[in-house]
Amino acid sequence: MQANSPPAPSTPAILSNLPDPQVSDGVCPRRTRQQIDLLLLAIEALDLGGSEALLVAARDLDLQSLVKNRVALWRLRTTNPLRRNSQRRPLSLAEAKALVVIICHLARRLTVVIRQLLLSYDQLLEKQLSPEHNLRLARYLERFRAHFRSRMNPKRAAVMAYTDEKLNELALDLLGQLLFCTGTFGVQRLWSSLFDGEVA
Amino acid sequence: MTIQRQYSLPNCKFILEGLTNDNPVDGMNARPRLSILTQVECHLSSVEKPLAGGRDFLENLVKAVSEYAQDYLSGIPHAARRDRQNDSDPVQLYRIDKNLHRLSLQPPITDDSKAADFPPPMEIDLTTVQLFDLVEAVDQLYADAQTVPDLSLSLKPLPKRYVVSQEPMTKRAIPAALGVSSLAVAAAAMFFLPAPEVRRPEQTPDPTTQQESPASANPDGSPNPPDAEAATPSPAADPSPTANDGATSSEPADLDAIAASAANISDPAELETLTTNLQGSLYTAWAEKPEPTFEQPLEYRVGVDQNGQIVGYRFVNEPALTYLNEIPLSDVQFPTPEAGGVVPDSLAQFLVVFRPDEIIEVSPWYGLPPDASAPAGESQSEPAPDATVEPDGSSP
Repeated sequence: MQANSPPAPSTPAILSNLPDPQVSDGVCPRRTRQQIDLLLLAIEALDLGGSEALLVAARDLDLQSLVKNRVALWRLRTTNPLRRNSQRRPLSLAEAKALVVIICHLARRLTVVIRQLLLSYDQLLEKQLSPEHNLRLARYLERFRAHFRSRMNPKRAAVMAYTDEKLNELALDLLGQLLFCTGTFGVQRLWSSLFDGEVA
Repeated sequence: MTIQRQYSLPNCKFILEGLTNDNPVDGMNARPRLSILTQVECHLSSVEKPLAGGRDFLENLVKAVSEYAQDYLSGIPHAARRDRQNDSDPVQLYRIDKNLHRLSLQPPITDDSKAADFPPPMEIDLTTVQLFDLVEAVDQLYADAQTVPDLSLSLKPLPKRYVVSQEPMTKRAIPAALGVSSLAVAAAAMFFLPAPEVRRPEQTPDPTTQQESPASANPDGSPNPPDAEAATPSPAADPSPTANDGATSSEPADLDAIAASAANISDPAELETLTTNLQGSLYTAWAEKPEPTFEQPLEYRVGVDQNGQIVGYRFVNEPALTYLNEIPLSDVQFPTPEAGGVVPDSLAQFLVVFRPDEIIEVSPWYGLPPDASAPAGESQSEPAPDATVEPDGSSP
């Protein structure tokens, strides 16, 4: 019998050094999906061309079998339970790995920006000023808040708990995490941290 | 000949010194392997004096830093796992503030020092950027296969059992307590409700039909006793609001009323035949209808007389009412009693399930062997059919 369908795409090599954690059902838990989406949100807030850059990165890294196009990317991101149109589909481990690799790739490209913002934040903290005093930092925070409010479901208790001040804190936390993603082992560290407290 | 290796970052610099185990002859390559470490120095931008030590110091430092980096990334404290493994780590990292991390170094304690002579740990505060540079220097060391190759990165996600819940126990117990108490209250309230009495349907005429046609339905002088009890479309079972005045009606007769008067067919062989015939005729009729759009199975209780003619049906589940028009039952014409239709002598009732994959399941309502004296009650619960007749080898 001739096979009529093309052979299933094998996992891209770039994902092969990320181990599969022992999670139930072999799909990503809530916290993982949420964290991935928030990191992508932070990247978009850092860089104006962010959304397009995600797709270009997927192409450059040869991950199109997992992240085909804009709609596919949107579907993967909306597995985040806090989203307005949260999808009920699961996020597979392979898809999550692809997103993690994309996050670290883009974070590396933005290393200088991230470091500068964090250094500005350090200086402001030393002088006991609020983050709004630095223009670039204020713009990043404002964009993050705008993206968050427009995409997350305001009826959820977890989203309602995020006041503007808490969103600023979240944005700065994510900025710090993105800095760690730029490291030599950024991908592996991020991948492992996503499953902290979720494995048996 | 000692080898020196450096890993430099803006806020942190590691300098390692050591010896190689490589064979001197073929160890003339540019980068020999530093396998024996003699001295390591860690220069941090926030302190003047570098941290120095030997192999043990390096191991403790890199392990603590690596674990803390994961701690920072996920926001979930790894302290519980650390504490289990080592009671007192000479190198410890913990978080003071969102942007401030404290590196605490306990100098090595020699055996002959007394408790009071323990030197205080050296504490260094690092911002997030400085911490990252330290982590990155460690990672570059890990990645370098030619330097202390037996030190390598090992990352394991924190197992569930080490996670301490953030919320206090009292707050977590509230939903459970609320649920149990409301169940108790509801149970107590329900206890006082009387159990519903079972009443057989009465032989008196339906008062609503009396209002519609006061002239025709004359219960006192009527020579036709079945007219009364098979009284037509009882409002409770009425699927459609309009009633035909023709010889036949498309509304199902009251199954309960018929069942009360007709004998229940209980012979297994006869039931088998009726099941097969009913299924066959339903399939034929359904094939002529358009594609079904419902996604849940539709369940009906169908009454069939001894000739296999459908005399009535009732809905068993909610979608059955919604999607009535998609299945053949809505087309069945029932002979009304006023037009002289025959009220069946005996009745067999079946559970008919129309499935979204176009399969019809038919089974006797009362199961096999049926209980002939069971009254046709108002219960909507499904009986457990002992035999479900599946179609032979047909699957869409």
